[in-house]
Amino acid sequence: MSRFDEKMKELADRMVAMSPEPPPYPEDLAVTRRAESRTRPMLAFAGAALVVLILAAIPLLLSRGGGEVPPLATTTTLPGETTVSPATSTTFPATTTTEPSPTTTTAIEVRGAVIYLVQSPENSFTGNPALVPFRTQYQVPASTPEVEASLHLLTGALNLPPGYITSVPEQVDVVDVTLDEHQITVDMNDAFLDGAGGLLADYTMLNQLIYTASHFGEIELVQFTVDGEPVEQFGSEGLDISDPLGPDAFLDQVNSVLVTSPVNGEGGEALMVSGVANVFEATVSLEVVDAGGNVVVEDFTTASCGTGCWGAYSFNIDYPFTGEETVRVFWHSPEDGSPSDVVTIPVLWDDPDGWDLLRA
Amino acid sequence: MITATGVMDNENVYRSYVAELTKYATGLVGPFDAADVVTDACLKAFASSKWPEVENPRAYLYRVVLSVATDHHRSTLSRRLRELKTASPESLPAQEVDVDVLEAVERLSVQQRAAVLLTYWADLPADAVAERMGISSGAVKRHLARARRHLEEWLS
Repeated sequence: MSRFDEKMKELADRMVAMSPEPPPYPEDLAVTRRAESRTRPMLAFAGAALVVLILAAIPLLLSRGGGEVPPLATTTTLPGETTVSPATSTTFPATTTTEPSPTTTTAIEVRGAVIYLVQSPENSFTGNPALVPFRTQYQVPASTPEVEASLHLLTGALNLPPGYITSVPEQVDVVDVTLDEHQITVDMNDAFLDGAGGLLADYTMLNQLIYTASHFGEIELVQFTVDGEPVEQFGSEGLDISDPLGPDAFLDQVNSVLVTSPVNGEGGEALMVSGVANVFEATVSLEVVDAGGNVVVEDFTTASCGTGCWGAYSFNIDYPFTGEETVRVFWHSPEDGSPSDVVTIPVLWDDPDGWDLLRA
Repeated sequence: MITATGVMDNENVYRSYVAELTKYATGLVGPFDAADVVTDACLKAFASSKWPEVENPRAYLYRVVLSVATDHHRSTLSRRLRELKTASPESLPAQEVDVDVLEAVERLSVQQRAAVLLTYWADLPADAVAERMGISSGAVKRHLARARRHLEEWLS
């Protein structure tokens, strides 16, 4: 065995040596699985619904953003007990800088987060906006719940990358978050009640918040409150959102193709692309475009439902991604075969110098 | 693994392979999420319509673990590593973590990690590695070559 092989074997053995205890066999595994197989499509469906709504709002909502789709990865610090802040860190909100305090000792963690922003789909057939997951990193006091940190990240001023917009006005903020198993209650400030400036924008704003909240764990319902009271009059049309909202609340107003995976920044030798779609004959198409604009992968698949109903789809792409590709997911128009409702997701690996959402 | 009625005994299969699958998953996603990946993979495999016809459940489970680990995303290990480095001592996981190795493996894609593990830990020939990864032998060699480049500094 060569020295190289010995070192590789050492690496493999040391990696495996960290193995935890094997998980026990779930006695009700079969029952669990049957229940899950019904639940997951529902969740995916619900997720798609929200995206559709957001897409519908794009033309009206573009209060911030525009241009081509870019990279990401920001490091942000939430408000409160900031301490051990690296020189490059930003304190949330972006306009405030927290001086490191020698007396504070709260641990700061760097976590990954996914918030939902809005894209205007290329060659839109429905005119609806696309809700797309956007990956970022942030620094946060260890005591801050993950979902609360993400909602804080989504609200307030954002330095959006080109190609992304948001319908959440800058003055809207999260006051408090309460988790109760599969439901989350999000207490908002008064500015929330004014909505985003139009019905479509209002729906999209809600969708962004709901999708961002439900991206974590098993949250299925989001209850919005202001001053602790359910909201009966929201936005320009006075929407009654006093009941908890699931991700399928506004599905019919989102782009016909919803991509939930991957999010920006993910890639490797293989990639799973998945989501839900409501497209002609349930046929979903995919392209991978390299940095030079060349289509290097073409594929299509059949969603579990289509032409009037939403179905789940997924692609497994085995391709040596360099981190500069773009994934395009769409369906072909039956009229002229052109790609319709195209959603674009950049494949970019971790980039510490990536897009800073909170840059002033 | 097949009962007298021709039904795959899921529990028997699980108990037979869960230990090695957990080690494999540890090499793919790190020790923090390995158990979750194995559980998810077994749930996925047992619910698959192909499962009753699977001739080699061990190889099939390895493929599903790789699939779930790939979906788990390359960035997750990086995030876990960053958390580990910034965590307060009292919040550190009970198990021992080889940070040096994690930092080296972090540079690899999940597919490259799988090729390295199956070749050097499981000690399988290239065609067997290819079967467990669901790719060609040539692709296995390419993954190993790329892994070597990424690990150049660690290996030197």
